[in-house]
Amino acid sequence: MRVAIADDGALFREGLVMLLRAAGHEVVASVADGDTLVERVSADPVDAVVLDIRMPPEPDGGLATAERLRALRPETGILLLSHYAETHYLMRVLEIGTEGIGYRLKERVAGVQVLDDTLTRIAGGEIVMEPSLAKRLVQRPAGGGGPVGTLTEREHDVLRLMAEGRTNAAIAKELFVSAKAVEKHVAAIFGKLDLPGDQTVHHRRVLAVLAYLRAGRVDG
Amino acid sequence: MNGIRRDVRLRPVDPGTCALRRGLERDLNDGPAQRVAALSVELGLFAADLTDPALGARVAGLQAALAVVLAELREIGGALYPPVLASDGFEPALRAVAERHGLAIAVRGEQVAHLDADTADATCLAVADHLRSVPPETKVDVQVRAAAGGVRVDVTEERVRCG
Repeated sequence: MRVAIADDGALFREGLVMLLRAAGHEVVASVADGDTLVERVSADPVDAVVLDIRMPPEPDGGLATAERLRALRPETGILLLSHYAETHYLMRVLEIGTEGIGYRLKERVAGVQVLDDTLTRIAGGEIVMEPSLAKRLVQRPAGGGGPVGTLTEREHDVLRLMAEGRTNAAIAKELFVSAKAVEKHVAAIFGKLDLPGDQTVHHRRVLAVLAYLRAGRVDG
Repeated sequence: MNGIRRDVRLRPVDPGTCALRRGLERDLNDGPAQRVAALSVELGLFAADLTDPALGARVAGLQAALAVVLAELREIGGALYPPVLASDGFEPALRAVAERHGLAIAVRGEQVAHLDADTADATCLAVADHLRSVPPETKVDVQVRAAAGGVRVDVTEERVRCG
């Protein structure tokens, strides 16, 4: 895979370059700010970029750069890295795109295997989110506004587990129900949240989770 | 919902302190946090060359220990100056702090969208400092109004059973 990196922390950036090379990827650009990265990637397209959220242009150059890049080259996978796992940043990431994009903590991609897996999933069109964020979402006070409020208690449980990135089989095990029952709940959730039927199942799951995040925001 | 209501007196944060706290959070992020993350990457590279699974497991243990250090630095950084405040402003920052502490929050007032950066900083830090002392599963209502020479903030709390 051809990859470009932008991070204003030189030590961490150089480390990532070496990890990527160890995983067999070609690093075509390693720069300290978003604007330079966009310049380089426009002239020489890549399969994926790795962006630090907090870098120039300030205050959150990674997000601004991801936005520009998505408009310029929608097919390029984007991995955003941060020292902070914030729901707010996750929502901004999902507003930039719900395919081929990811948001992870820096120290959680500090291995050849995990970095390779993360980038491969993103380049394959998946969305990858930091597991600790999903966990925090589950623990926060539940709200009831909007279409999410029309879900039954059981559907709400299923949606929370979807937000944790669990598969139907894992959800079934957790809730002590059959996989078929989970499938029915998931279909009901999609229906109630009015999610477009022409999307892939994975994409619809992400949109459902996004609706869940948004509901938490306005419920207060 | 029934709960106990009480009014809260916030401790104001002066502009000098705001700037200091913002600077310290930045130093923490750009210095120690960045270095520890780089060290973890360094260990990841080291692990890639290992063939002995026992050594690999020890390196993974070291990386897990560094992740704990980073989580602690993140906790301190977030208390000094919520990172979302610098990038997205008053309301998103308060929501982020509330979420971290398991609180439900409503931020109201026409002033919210029009705060200048200094007022937003001072007000957000004062409310955020207070939120850290509020027990989880509390519903917090923050109302911001224009007042002579600045803003008036009313915080109302209600203990709720959530779930």
